[in-house]
Amino acid sequence: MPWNSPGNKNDDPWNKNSNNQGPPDLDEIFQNLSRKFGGIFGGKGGGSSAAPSGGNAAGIGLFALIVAGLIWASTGIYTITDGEAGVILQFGEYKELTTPGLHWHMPYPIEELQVVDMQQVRSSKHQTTMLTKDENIVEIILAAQFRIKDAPNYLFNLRDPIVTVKQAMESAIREVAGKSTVDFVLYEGLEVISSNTKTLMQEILDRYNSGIEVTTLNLEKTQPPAQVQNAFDDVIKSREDLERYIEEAEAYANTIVPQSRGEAARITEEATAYKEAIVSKAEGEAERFEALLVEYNKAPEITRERLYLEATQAVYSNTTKIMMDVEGSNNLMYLPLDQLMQNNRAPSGSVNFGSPSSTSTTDNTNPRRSTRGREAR
Amino acid sequence: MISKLLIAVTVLVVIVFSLCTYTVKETERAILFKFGEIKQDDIKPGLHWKMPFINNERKFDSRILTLDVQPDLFPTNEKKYVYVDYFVKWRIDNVRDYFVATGGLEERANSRLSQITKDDLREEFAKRTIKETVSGERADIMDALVIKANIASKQLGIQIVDLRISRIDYTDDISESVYQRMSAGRDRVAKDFRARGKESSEKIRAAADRERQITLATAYKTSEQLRGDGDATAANIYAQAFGKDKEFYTLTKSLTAYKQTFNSKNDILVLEPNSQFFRYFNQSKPK
Repeated sequence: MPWNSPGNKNDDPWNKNSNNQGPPDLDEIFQNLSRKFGGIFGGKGGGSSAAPSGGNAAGIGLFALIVAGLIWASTGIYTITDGEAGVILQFGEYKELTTPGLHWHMPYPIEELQVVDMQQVRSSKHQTTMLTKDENIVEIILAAQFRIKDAPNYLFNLRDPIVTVKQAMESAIREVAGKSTVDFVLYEGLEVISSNTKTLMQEILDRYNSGIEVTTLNLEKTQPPAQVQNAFDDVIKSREDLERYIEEAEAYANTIVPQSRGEAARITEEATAYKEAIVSKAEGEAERFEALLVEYNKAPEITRERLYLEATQAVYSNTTKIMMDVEGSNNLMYLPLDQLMQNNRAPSGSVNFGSPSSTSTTDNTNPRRSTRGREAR
Repeated sequence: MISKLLIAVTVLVVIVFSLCTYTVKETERAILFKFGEIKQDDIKPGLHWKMPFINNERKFDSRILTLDVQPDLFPTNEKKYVYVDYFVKWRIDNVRDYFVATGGLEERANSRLSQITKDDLREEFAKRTIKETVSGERADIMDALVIKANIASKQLGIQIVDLRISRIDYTDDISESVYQRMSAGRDRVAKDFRARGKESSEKIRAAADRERQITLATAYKTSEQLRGDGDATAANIYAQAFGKDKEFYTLTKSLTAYKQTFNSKNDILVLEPNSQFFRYFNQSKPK
């Protein structure tokens, strides 16, 4: 566009024709300019205002063109800040990518600028149910953050890059989930799944030369569908139950094992006590016997007699007795033993019994009399 | 006068220029016609000349476009129906063919593509089980379809960049039985956990019981040994002492035994006065 550029004005055929004075002098142009300025700003007070001429008119036109040209050219000045990229199109065709700083492009309609924010992180969220490898259904909420890594690709290759991001994400997560088991998706493999999904998603986006980079991908939530939530919760509970059963058993073991050691110690101690006691008792009794034996040997007859009588006395004085001083036992005798036993339980310890042949009641404090009564019959 | 001329010339240039040129954007490809006949195709981005009123141009979006197909029911190998949702990424490969085949109408292109891909996809699904389509062979299906569909779409001047299955879902009644199966599967896992818990619990308890029993039995053994020792020692002591006068020992031991045996009012003795004790009971003379 040579006629639009002030520097090439000399080549402008129409301009040349109108001046008819050969190449125009720059000084003259400026003189014209200043005169024109004087005319505008000085008003009628300026003497030069009364000198309209063809050259003057041409000057005004030229001047207007230059100013217009300058203004037009200045629309091509632009700045790109950090984190942005400028994409310059020349007649719609991609020409260059400009980095941050002050720039100038040829003004519209020759060149156009499209500024792309390279730093802004966008996000896309997606909630969906999907099938796993073992044909279970899971619900997943995932979110991806992405940014533009290549401005021209981003601008020129896809009609709807944002929709594509979402589609790539959905397709990727389903493919990854479809290759994993339900337990892996829900519990064990969250990190693996999100990183695999991110990789696959990036692959898809790169296949389209989308100019988009996935920066992070989070599985915000993976859960079984509401219809089977209870069954899944029960599995978690059962894990807890497993732990609990073991804890309880260990508590049991921790109780009874020390207890049994205590019991064992008691059994052993008791046996030791028994042993000590029985030996002591034997020793005591042996010594007692030996001491008595010495005295017995000095007067055996009398000692025997004394010991016998003392022992017999002790026996008879402590027990209930019935004397049967009857020769020949062919008489039928009835002893109400059960009644005797019953009476003995009374605190007095007295025994009343009637002889089957005697009508008189005898006092047991005098057994002799009772036997007498029987004797008398 | 000259300035007016300048302005007039400029305006004229602009008008002529705008009539004689056209621009194709970076995202477009164009076709140039001469009275409706294609003169030049696949015109690249930039500024191009044309003859006003004789030539006219048409521009087409050359970016990757999306065909998002409505979810549809596809039968699988097992005669189960699944909802399949997929999208096709395509771009114009040959502008001339594209224009001839579709008249440059995107809707027409989309509906043709939709037909082509759907038939192919149906075929692929009918060959496979749900499991195969969901997990292992999803990528294979998609790759195969891209190749296959590209053959058909070439006539349309379209290149299929990608075909991706975004969703495979069960129909509602199948979903219901899947939920039941999932519940049953979970139940199995839960039972397994609980049973294993009980197993461990029983083992621990049994081990504890064993330890307890052994400890007590060992203690019993020791205690019997101790008692035996004691009994033996005591027997020895008694034998040593009482062996000195066997007859006298029998006497004293018998007497002690009598005393200890009959020591309560509940013991009833029925006596005849003929023992040594009653020697003087009926007479006072020495015997």
